[in-house]
Amino acid sequence: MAAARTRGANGEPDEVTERQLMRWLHGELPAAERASLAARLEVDPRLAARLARLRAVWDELELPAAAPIPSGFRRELLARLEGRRRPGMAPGFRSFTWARAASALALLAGIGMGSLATALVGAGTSQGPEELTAEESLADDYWTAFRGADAGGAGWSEEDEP
Amino acid sequence: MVPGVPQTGVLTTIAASEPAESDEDLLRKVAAGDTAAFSGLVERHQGRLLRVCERLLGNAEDARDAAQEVFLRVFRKASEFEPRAEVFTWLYRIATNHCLNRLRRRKILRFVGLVGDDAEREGGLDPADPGADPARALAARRRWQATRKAIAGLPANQRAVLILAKFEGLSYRQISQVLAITEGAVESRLFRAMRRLQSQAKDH
Repeated sequence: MAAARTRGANGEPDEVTERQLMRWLHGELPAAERASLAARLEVDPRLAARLARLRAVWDELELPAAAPIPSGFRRELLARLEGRRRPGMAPGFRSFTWARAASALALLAGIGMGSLATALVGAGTSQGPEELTAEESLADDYWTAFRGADAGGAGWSEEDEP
Repeated sequence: MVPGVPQTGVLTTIAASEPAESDEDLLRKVAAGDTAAFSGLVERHQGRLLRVCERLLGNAEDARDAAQEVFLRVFRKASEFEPRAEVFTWLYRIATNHCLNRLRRRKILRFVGLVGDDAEREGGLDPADPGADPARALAARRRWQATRKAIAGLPANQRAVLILAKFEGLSYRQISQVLAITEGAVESRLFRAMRRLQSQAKDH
């Protein structure tokens, strides 16, 4: 790790302390460092102000809160599973499946394969990220994030140097 | 991640207080057709997967259906799980891939006019509380849009770390495992992401 300056040329806390503030914010500081930083925050209003600005940026990030787990979710799921394993006992599920198949056939018949091909191309298979909807973009990011382990991670890059 | 608040990441939910079966053991049983083990796996992960699906699809109804489809797929594909990955990262990948496909199908159906161009639904920003005050709901929707825009402005590797830290509540250690990078790299990317967000905030 590069030698750390404690203060920048203008007297403001440097990058190392900014990182400590971030770790503090995220509950990632070891106990000893936490106590030390807590003591500094008590007496250094500029440092406290920096923490407040960092917290404001962090807290400003917000996505919709999730609804509570719907009642009967697991029971319904197990029933669907049972229906798939024993098709004769779950006519409701089979009807659902046939309805889906019928819709797909209607889709193909109604618009033609050429239009469908155009739609598929235009639907994002080759679009740049700027053309994705917000939801697709976020889903893409989640996909990328959780693909990381299997893909061997994104690898070490220069910007990862602490 | 809030100081003093216990992490809610899945890797920490297998508490030491009781000898719960590991995800890998449950999944092994699921691969053998054990529905009790499947039920246990669902109970353990339904909250997180429902939340991710709702976050990506934009409404609880679609999320419920999607999450069920994801779990059914997990049941079918349990034997394909490779132990070098964590079970919960595997679940998340299936979920996000499923949601991506649904979003793209939705786009096709809108393109050919089979579904309406419902901006409210498409925007995916329905508040969890249907009785929410309209002004508050609008303010919330703007915050969500601003968040998505802010995230989109980050480089991909910073986005991944930010999402996992902020919205999935994973610790640096857990993120390092999910992304197969060091904790130092997690910290560096998150730090640069925070700096960029601060800079963006100043520009507005």
